Amino acid sequence: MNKLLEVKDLQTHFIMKNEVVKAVDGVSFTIYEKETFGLVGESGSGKSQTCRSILGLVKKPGKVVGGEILYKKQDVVKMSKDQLRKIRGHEISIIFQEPMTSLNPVLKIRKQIFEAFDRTDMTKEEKRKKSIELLKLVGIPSPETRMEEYTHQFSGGMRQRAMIAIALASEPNLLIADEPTTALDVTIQDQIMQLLNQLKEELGMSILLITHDLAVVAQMCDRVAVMYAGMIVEMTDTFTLFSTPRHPYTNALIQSLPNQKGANERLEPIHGAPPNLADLPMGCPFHPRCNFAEELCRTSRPELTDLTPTHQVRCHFLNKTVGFKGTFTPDTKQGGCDGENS
Amino acid sequence: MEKIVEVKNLVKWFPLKYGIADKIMQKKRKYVKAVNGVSLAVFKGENLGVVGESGCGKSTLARNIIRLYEPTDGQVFINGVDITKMKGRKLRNIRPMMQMIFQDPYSSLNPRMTVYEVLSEILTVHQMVEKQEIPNRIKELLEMSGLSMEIADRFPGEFSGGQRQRIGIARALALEPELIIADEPVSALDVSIQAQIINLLDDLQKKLGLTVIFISHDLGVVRYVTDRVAVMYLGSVVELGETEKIFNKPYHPYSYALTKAAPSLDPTDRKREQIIEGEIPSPINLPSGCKFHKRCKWCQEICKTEDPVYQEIETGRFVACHFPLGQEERKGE
Amino acid sequence: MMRHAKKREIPIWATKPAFIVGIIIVVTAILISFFPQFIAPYDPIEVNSKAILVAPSAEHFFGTDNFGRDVFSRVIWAARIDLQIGVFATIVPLIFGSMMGLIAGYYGGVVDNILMRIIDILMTFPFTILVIVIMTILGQGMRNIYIAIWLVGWMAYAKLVRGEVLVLKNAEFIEAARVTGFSDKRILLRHMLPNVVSSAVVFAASDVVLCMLTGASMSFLGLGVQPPTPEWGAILNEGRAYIMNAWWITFFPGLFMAITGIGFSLLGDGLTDFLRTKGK
Repeated sequence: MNKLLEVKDLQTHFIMKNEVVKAVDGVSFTIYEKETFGLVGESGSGKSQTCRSILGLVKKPGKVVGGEILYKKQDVVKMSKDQLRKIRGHEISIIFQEPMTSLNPVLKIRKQIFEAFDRTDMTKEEKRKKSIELLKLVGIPSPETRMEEYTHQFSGGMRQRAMIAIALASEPNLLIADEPTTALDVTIQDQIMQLLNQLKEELGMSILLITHDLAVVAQMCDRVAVMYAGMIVEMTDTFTLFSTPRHPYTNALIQSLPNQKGANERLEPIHGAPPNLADLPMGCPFHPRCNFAEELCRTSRPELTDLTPTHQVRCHFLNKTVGFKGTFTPDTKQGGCDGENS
Repeated sequence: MEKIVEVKNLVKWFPLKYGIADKIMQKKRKYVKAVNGVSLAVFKGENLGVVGESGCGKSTLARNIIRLYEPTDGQVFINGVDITKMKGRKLRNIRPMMQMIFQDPYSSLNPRMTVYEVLSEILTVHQMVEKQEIPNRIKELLEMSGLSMEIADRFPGEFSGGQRQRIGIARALALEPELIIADEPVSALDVSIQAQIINLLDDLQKKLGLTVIFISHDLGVVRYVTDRVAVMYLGSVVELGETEKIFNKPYHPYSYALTKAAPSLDPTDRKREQIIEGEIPSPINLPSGCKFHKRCKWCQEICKTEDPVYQEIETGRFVACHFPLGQEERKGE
Repeated sequence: MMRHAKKREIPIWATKPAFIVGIIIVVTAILISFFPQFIAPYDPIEVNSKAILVAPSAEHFFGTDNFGRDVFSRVIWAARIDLQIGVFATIVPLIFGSMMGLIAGYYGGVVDNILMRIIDILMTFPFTILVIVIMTILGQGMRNIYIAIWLVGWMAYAKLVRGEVLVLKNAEFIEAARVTGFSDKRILLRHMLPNVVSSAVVFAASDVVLCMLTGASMSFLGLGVQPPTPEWGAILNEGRAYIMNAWWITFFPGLFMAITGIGFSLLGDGLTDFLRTKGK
């Protein structure tokens, strides 16, 4: 497979008067062509700042202070504003969590799609045709009339579809989806997830999915990286992650979900709170909340190490993390069953 | 079992802005029909879930029960007392026995009052304890909610979401209520914190013998937390019964769609078929007949014209559907 | 980050030079108005026929006017009256208007509707015009200046506070206070007011300037303070006839008025940041 985006040792820091917030602290991952890659973590884990760094959208006083972001072997960090603009919104598009605030309320949907064609020499009629095609593609009924409407005339789900259509207008190779279903209801979330899955197949693009919701990851991603305190703590393919998680944090996240428990079983929350990014604990950033922590974890920060060529974990005691219960057992349920909830 | 709350045919409509121009044009007055004839009972000591998508009226229902709103029609009984039209001092006197936990931990605490001030005000106004006992009681309340007295002199701005939610719980408990309405209490929290708060609520319910109405859109949480669940759609309860039974075998097509649409954590269990099409219609112009008919896979002629009766089709199982699922062989249609 | 509560940092207000300048000006103005007798070298209304229209000199810092009165002393003594007008004319509308806004916003309904329509209509007229109209009806004099400004001034506060209340009314902590069974009075005064009053106070700081100017304008028009009482507007008015050959009579009261105005404005701006951040 060809590498589309390669992030190498990315460091995005927020330099304040009397402290440095290390929002992203040495993150490396690769997105291949035609795959959905997930970045999952809680608030403050650095997943959103990673995505902003890729697009060159980090807000002041934040700054990419180290590392490389190679898009098709070109370093995005070193690009001029013009070069960056050519890639942003053309090669890479983004959809946000809240379509109401990321769409322009005073422009018709048609105009907002047309903007994506600005750099092409399409005629008006061609643009129109293409827009209708796009709106149809994302499942907006009667696109001819709906494209003449404003965003406030759209419902939440339709707005998200419209935003996807706009993002797709430039035929991106990489679509960054920042919590695309978080603001939506379950039934609509289901529709949008399926739409994105289907579009990825049809258009052959890659998706970088940023989410806090493990279930969305399970439903959409090919590979996934779990982030904690600005670092990747575990990275592997989705099946491995959900069947045999190996980092204590990944395991704890899965175990704290009520879906995994019977009515009389007690939830196992992760005790304590996420760390202050300006003042990370010594050693492994997860050690104060980890049930397996030992002296070594308090003093030395573990590296992200290869467990297998496709499974990386950042933990000192991988011998202790065998046998975590995943969300499914791979052998008995291979192949996928439709509809039935376990 | 003893009923602590009984709601009979509750209706809540919010009038839309109706200006002079509309009056001159003789336009019909419009309403957001948030709750349309809900009847249910909550039994002492149970945890009743109310689940549905945004705009289904679950929060409005809760705010009518706790009388933040005055119902447009219908009745609300608390321990057999009709509080539907209660006002002023009388209402204030009944309030302590039912308390609420809110969704947004950032707007649910007064930014200008310390934790101590918040709690001591409640204890003083309602004379819950002797004056010299107040600090002890506050310590007790904070510890019950998993906090310590050290944080008492801080302002809400200094806390994380999970801590704020704990303060909100301590505030609700200060009045020693019998009933707690929890309106999406964990939706705004991170996954790892969610579990802490769910466990806390669970412990408190058992320890203090509370009755809880748990409102949420998160089916995973509702399934885990509640004993019985009411599924709401466009202001009506479409199905009500024991939680496990509804999740295992939903009778109403909407309950079916809702349970099936919830994403599974199992990556081998990816859905290929569309579970439910379209979106919730506007609560201003409700659909005719069954309110769900436009999105229902099993819709028949009668569903378009006649609103199905909400009735008990098994002991403790209420459904509002002309053709409940699994009742006859009609799934293939 | 607010997490580190224990760490005492420099107070926010001290980091804003504009705010400090504002405080210095306002405090100086207040000191002057309290103790004019220690600063002013002459009696402000004492006529001196030997020194008429004398230019600024070591003896008379700001010169003298057409009656030989010391302009410096008059300007200093005038601070007392002008500040008085500024402060008293602001405080009553601040309190009354805030209360009205609080009640209208919280209860809504017919009262709110009628009140807001009246305010909408009246506020289409310029402030000063309305005051002049009321003054002509009531007649001249200090007391009537206050009444006229009070009658007009409260509306801005009512509107401002009402807007904030409407937003805050649905905040969950207000709902929580109602669920707790607190009385409306307690909710309004203890929970709503502290959260909405800051913008009204900020507005009041700059409103002081407006009221002072209005008071001065009334005197300038001959509707307010009567001669020979020193008041900046009145002094300006008297000096107007001699502006070509005795500029100092009009220049200095104008300058003082401007500086005081700037002082209160800076104070108001600074208060915005200060009150917004406090407690959050």
